[in-house]
Amino acid sequence: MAIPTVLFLLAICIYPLLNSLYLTFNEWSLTSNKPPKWIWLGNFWELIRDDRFWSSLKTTAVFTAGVVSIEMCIGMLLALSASRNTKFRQVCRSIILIPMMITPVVLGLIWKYMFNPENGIINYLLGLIGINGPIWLGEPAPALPAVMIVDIWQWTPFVFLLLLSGIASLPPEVFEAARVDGASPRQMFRYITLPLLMPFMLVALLIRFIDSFKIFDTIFVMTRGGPANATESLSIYTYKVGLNFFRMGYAATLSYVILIIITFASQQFLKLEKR
Amino acid sequence: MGERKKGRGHIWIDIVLVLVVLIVLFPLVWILLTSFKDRFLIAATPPKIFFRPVLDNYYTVFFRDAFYKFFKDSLIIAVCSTGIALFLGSMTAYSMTRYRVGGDFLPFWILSIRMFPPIAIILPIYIIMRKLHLLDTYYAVIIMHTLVNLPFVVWLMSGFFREVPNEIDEAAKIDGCSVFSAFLRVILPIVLPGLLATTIFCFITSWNEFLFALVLSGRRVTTLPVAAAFYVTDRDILWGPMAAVGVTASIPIIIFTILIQKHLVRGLTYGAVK
Repeated sequence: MAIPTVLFLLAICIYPLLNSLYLTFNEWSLTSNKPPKWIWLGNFWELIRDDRFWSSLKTTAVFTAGVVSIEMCIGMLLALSASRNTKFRQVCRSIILIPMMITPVVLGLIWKYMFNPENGIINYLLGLIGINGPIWLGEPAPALPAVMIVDIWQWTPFVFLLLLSGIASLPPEVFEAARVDGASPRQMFRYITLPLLMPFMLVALLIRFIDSFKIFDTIFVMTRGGPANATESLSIYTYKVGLNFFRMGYAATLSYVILIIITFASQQFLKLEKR
Repeated sequence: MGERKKGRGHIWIDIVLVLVVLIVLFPLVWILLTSFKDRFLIAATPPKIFFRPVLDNYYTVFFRDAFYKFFKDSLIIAVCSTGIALFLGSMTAYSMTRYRVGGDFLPFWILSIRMFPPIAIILPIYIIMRKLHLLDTYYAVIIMHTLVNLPFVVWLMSGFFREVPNEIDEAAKIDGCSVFSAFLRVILPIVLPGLLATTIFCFITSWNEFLFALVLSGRRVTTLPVAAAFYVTDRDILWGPMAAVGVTASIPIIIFTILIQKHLVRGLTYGAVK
């Protein structure tokens, strides 16, 4: 009964991947009628010398490192403090779920509206406490923090909930035993809670890493990668090269870079988890 | 003394939680309010919280800009891709968990599809669909959304199937069921709650998906996120109608989310965490 699925995946996923691999060795513009031209490692050579690629790689790295670490920290703190269950907290939890399910494009638009310099609520609120808000999405410096805020707002609840279910699964007997043996709260956290939560933290870390590294939707809607390419992630740059400039070979090379980085990094995570 | 200290800590935590809830809700409430404001109210500073709501924006979106068309496209694509993914995925999950079809390799392979970035195959897919004259049709987007949902169904359903004891299959077979009818008549009804949660998950994923829909759609077929993304251009910023689009697109999602909240963590982590 698995055969249809395997065939489907071969046709829709593996074949395109191989096709893409072939394209990385070619120069091919979709706008001209010429067939793909084999140029060996020409695209990789261009990649190394392409400043815009390096800058988008840096943007993606900063974005990923920033949002993942902040989401993990806030999520962990919230989960540890709110682990005991009450009716009120259950209601809070249900509400917190909402952002991560709402269409990212719609969220991007909502935040773009709130960030806008003319009548955006964020700069108005900042003005109330005497801060002159920047033109968030119009200047290179605050644009990347702005899109990071949206991601953090959307996905911290995910880390929170995941760790919460991790904490709920901890065996209470262990803590009881530790208390009897005279362990301090700090020792209990360091030697019991943290190691037992490790698998949950790794899952959260892995999923958040993968998803934020391929960030596309919210950035596309909020800034299209601008201003001055300040928010251009690897996915956005690849999209532009492929579907705005129609340079298929080079875009395929870029997409393979993303694929390789994500595969390599998630393998490292999985190795950590096995240990 | 110790008790009192504990009680006070309790209240502080609840206050922090309320703050978090407010931060989470604020953008959503703000967009809801904006959607009921007219042009002048939206431009007003300081922003007004109490006002007489008007339906102008909703009227503009649905009657002038014909957004119901995009809703219809999104709905058709979400329903079809969810259906196909459920059909293929639950059969695969069943054969994987019960008969170890594909050994260790197949589950791992299917999981790795969750990890890979859609951008990695979007170009060849675009080229193939162009060759097949499938660009700007329902088929192209449905096929790709099925690909996105399929690994998800396989992993979630595998988890649900594993919770059903093997003896039930055995009993069904002794009663004369074939493998297929045991699956259809005995096992599927047992995992129905899980199946429903998976269905809603797939629906939301397809409803929200942007990149494939953006690249493969065009003038004839446009999903809601794609239409919304191009609704706000830098030259002509229509915040009011945009807010109306956002609100109407989010309402089904919010209802669905509340329906499946019990399974949400499990779903979002591909069954890695229950």
